[in-house]
Amino acid sequence: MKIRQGFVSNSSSSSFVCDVSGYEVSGFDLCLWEVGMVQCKNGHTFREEYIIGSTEEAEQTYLANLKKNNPELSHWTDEDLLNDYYIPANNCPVCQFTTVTERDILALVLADKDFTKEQLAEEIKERFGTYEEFNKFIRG
Amino acid sequence: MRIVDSKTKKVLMSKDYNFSFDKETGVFHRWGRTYFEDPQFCPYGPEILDLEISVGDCAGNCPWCYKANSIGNGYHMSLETFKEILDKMPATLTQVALGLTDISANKDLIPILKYSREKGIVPNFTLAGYGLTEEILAEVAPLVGAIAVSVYPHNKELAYETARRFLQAGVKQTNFHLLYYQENKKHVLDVLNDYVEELAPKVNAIVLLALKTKGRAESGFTPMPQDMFNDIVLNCLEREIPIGFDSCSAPKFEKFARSKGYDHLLKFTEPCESALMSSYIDVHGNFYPCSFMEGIGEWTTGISVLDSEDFLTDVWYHPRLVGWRENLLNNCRNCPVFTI
Repeated sequence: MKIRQGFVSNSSSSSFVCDVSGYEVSGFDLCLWEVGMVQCKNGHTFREEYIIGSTEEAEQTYLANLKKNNPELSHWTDEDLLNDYYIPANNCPVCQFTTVTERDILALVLADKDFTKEQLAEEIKERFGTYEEFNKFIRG
Repeated sequence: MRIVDSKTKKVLMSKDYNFSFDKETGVFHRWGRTYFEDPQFCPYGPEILDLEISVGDCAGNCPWCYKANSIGNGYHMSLETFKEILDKMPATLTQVALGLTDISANKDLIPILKYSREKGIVPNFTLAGYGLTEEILAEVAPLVGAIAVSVYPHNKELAYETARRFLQAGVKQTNFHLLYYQENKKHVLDVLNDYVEELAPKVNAIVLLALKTKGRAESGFTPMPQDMFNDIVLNCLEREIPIGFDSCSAPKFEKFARSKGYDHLLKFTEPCESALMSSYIDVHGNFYPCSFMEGIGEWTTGISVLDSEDFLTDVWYHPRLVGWRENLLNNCRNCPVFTI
């Protein structure tokens, strides 16, 4: 993904602006449906085409679980219930480990080592000294 | 391909090429089949248009002007021509950067900005500050997305004052444009120091533009060496000065980022996108890959947009542009003409 942080003010060639404070794509203010994305009940966001099974199947599973656990919603229409729809874990490629995210990999490494993120950063700093050395090691 | 065009956003969705553009902030994201893919070309038309709306009538008369603009000898694009061009552009277009000399050089500037807004296209432009009256400022400020003020040694105070006026008028994305080359390192550092010491206004970003040895810059001006460039960028990052670059600078910035441990900034860099995602049209309505290509090599003449019946067929997929694109992509999107 390429990100431009502001309008192009350059009349000669297009420009980009770096945000030195760091920018998270999660701050991206856009409705998921606008870009063909969906979210699962555990908060994983991915393109609709990666749903395990079909969208319809996922919707039906969601509706069945919702109605089973919330009998008071029985008079609601499926359409209304789907307004607040999320993909069940069974249909999510991340929950099913078809794809493993970098965040989950980091969480596992930290849990295995019984480290906090800050402790891991300190270890990296001690082992490699510079980012160049770290990169050399990572890239083999 | 589907485009959702609302008052505040334009979103394009397709299998291999997607973007989202926020019309209020200018924030733009582009991705491919997944968020991790970067498409190299927009098959549906340009995202950005760089449109020259005046030549000549430029009080700056800068010794390095690649357009060789000077005082007098003015010619400007009429509102009618502007409308005709904008109407021919595909729905992929998100914003237009207007190439303007002095602010009074095109008497149709305000109607041009208004028409652009009517079409949902965000207009931006650059100026040096000469001739900016309170009346023009009040009319322009609510219409533009961003303004850039060029800062040169001979107009520095005027540029700072002009930027202050735009910021006060509510244009949050007021930028400085700062041309850099070997011989002007001191000027660049002076402006950066002025920013830190608050002698210059707190603009949105200082956009560094690489010298191209064209026009009056053909002799006596040298592109900045990499180590000098690295010093300047480090100076900015360490002092948290908000910076931006033209896409011509991207290869240089990428070298800097990879060698100095700033790899996380690479997603913000975009190498040459001429005729891949962006477009340039001169004051007479002729298309070139970018403004620097005008009159060079096979681009001694452009492709007439005014004579085209269908922009995509007659311009975007014109054999000369298809060839240009192939050459640029084979050259890893490094400028095939100028040493940067």
